[in-house]
Amino acid sequence: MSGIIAPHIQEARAAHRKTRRKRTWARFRQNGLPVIGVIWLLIVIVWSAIGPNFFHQPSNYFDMFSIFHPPSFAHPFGTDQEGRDLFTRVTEGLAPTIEIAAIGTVIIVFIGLVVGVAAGLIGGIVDSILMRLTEFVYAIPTLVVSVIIIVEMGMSVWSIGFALGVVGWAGCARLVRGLALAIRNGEMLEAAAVAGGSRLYMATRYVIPNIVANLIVFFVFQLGTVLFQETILLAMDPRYMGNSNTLSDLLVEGAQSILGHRWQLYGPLFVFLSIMLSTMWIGDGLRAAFNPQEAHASKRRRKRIRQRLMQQLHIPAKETSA
Amino acid sequence: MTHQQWRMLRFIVLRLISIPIVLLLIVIMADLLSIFSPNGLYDTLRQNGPLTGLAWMWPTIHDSITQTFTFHLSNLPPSVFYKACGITLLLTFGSIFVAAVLGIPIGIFAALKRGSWWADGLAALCVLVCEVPPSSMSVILLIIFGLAIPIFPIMGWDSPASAVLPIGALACINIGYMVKYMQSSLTEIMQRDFIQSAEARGLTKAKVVLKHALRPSLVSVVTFFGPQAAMTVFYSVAVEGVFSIPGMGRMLGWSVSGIGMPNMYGGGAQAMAITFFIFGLIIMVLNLIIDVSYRFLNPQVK
Repeated sequence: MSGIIAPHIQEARAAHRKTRRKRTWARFRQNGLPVIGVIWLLIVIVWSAIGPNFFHQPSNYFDMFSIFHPPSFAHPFGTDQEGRDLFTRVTEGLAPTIEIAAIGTVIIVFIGLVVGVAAGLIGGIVDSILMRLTEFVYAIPTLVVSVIIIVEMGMSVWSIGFALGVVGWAGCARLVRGLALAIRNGEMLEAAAVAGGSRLYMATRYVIPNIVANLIVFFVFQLGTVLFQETILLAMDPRYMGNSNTLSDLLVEGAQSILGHRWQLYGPLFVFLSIMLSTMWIGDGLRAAFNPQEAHASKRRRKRIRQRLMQQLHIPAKETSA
Repeated sequence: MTHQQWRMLRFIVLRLISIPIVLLLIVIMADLLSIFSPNGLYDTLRQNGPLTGLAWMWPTIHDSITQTFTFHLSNLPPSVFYKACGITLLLTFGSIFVAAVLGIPIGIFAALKRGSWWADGLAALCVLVCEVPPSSMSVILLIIFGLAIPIFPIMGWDSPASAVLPIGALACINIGYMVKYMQSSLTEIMQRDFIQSAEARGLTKAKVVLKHALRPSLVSVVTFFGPQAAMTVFYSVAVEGVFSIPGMGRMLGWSVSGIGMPNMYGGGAQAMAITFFIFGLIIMVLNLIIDVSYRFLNPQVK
């Protein structure tokens, strides 16, 4: 409607939006590492989906005559103690690995969000009870509990993800509570309360949209943490490995037989590290993109800002240019 | 005493009161877990019928109840237990200390020299090192410094030298986080107004960083310290396994057997309750220390 009345305002807005989008992209891009991370993660995800179709033998194909072959053209990552091709195993293990990380992180973020928003928004006795509960969850030895949960539920992608998620939400709850408290004390929620909004309305319309940026960043970082914890979980008791091909399994297996057959560790470790680094870079980029205060200024621009300040203060620039 | 100090004291006392309550909950939870785990008390009762089961299990139940409430370390000689506890604590705090001594200066350096490729490269290397799982990292260190260059013992716990590799492997996890948090918070703080005014007053760079920027930027490092110390205790278990160190993880089995029964030297339920108790205590005391130091570093905290 307003476009008909004042088209130039619409155009100015569009231009403004464009510059904003450009600046956000510049903040996300930083030095290019987050973009590399996104591309690499996409490649890994696509490969985990279509990769298993490309091999003419399954990952559990035992070959007695090619035990412990070092990396070659036929076996890019080498073969293991039963002659299985490690590249095939890594490819088939990628999907469950990513699924475990995603399930665990979704559970962590969901429980943390509910508990944190409730504690921060309602306050008072609910807040202190929920925070003591969080401290309780925080103080129990999480990995022991998750081992027991996995044993109870049986070994599957869902049970590992659930076990890691259900014991790990304390950090998320603390973070969300802090953010929700900051919003509750602002003027926005006062206005909402005056307008007669219920608590659920305030939480869903005001609090959650305002903290969703932080949550996305937390989500990306947490993916790496959950993967990391899964390796510890399996390293604690290798009897749980089964032959499930997940990266954590392969890492533990590789570490056990590293004397003499080092490629068993190198291939899975490379894939694992690259995934972890990509999530970390993406998280860094997203944090910068969502936070306009973070300096996306180049070194030159920062220098110019400082010079301008010094001019205003009538200080010769030479003294403090260190 | 000023008003501020009173409030600090009140805060500390309240937290100290809440510690035993939460610890009690933790022990109850450990006992519940061991009762309901496969082949535990619940299974036995269900299989044999409640009355026969109870009669049959009564000596065990009685033992378990008395031992839970008197909290004595049933089959575990206390001296051995304290020794194991000491080893794990030494590994954990030693590694955090090493990581802080190395990581914080590297983080400061990387924040100040941002843009130069070798500062960025150093920070990136630290982050890369921290992403290697500790079980793999300790094997890699073992190969390099125990076999290729045999300068440190590769297993056991007899000399101070045998603590070097495990502490190194554990420190590798923390060092990347230290560098990252230090770098990002210091970079952010160096762009604040008060730093620019300090610079404009003509202070040297070292003075600006050490006197003005360091204290506020340590806040985020200290905040992360709590969860990370807790996780380091668990990571130390994986490392103890690789180096065969008789620490807490080895001592208490720290695993669950194939049928799901806690598989611990001290006999199931008690050992699990003890583990949960000790680790809960460590983590909560650490949390308290962190919250107090957080208030010290950042006076604005309510």
